[in-house]
Amino acid sequence: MPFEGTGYTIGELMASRISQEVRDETFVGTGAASPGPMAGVLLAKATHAPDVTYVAIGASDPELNPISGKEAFDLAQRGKLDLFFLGGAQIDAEGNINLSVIGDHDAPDLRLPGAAGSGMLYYMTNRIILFRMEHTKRVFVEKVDFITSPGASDGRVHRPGGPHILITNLCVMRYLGDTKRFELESVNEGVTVEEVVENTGFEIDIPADVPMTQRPTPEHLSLLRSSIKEKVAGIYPAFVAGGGFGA
Amino acid sequence: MKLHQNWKVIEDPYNEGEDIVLVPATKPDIGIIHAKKADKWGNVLAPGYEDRMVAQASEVFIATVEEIVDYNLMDDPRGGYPIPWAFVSRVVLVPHGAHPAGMEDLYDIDDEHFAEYVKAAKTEEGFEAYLDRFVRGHTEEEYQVMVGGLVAAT
Repeated sequence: MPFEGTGYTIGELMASRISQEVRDETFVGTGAASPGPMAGVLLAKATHAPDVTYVAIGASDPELNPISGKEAFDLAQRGKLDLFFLGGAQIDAEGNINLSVIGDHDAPDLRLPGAAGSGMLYYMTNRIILFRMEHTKRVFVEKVDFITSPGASDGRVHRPGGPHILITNLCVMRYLGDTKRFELESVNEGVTVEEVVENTGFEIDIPADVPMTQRPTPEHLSLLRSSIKEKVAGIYPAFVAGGGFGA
Repeated sequence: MKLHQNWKVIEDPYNEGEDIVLVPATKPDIGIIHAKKADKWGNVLAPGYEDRMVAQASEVFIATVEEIVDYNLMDDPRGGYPIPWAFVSRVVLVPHGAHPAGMEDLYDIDDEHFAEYVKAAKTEEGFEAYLDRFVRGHTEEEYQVMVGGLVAAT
């Protein structure tokens, strides 16, 4: 287990890493089932980005979701959303995500919830952080069974945004739009580069020197374990009660 | 269409034989409105339903307001159309800030001043002279005294 003995949980590491990507005075959004991203954005708001406008689409708390869902999508369509978060039942070598079906589209083994806006958001959000806490070959496949939204687009396609980084329970990868490949940015504490390679179903670029993902600072941990935990619990009680943040 | 050279006409792909006009999105750098109220969270009570779209579209959106209230306008938007704080960049407290236009329920249009402005604005020189007399180098307070002390007028 990678996180034993580190003094923090994977949820805390993820939130801390995400907070570094939040720029002050921008619009940042999170979708459904995103307690980790929510914690990361709230952490940034409590530290270096007090004037970020955060929209947790669908949340009933007006402090976390001050505008209508339609208006949140309008923002993205106008190119005003700086950061958003997406996952995928499968994510492949080129950053294509699959939220639609496992198996053949017309006779699927498993029907998934669907795109839920990702078809547009992946294109129009300035930067997308992909996150998936199950880093296995089942999830990270060479080619997704179905492309719900592509990682990159060629030709006459209006696409100002796209994938930026991918955060998993094992590592952080950076998406390289020019080559449509992922590059290993850092490995989480206690994880080796070999473990990442063994658990990834596609080839990734690996620099000569791969650092450890920066530990959450004591200030980050203290905030995550108090005010932010409370706020996230208001929206995702099961996640927090289940120890999603640990401690 | 004569007035909007940047609008395009294409054949409507859904209705054969018909044309359709494509209007490009308006993207203001700054949007400014004068509104009745704002609250301490930055929510604004606007006079028109379309003001919310102006706020949504603008890079920076500024609302000057008659009054700042301490209750949440999103919970009680009576008397106007609420704009949530997420779309509001700045709120400026400027009572009587609509002058020489009016504000519903609070003060009427100043017809006399408007007539004076319209007359002045007919020529470039007149417009410049108007700006020098009422705007340039004057504070809002000085302006309000010059136009007759609006506080007394209501």
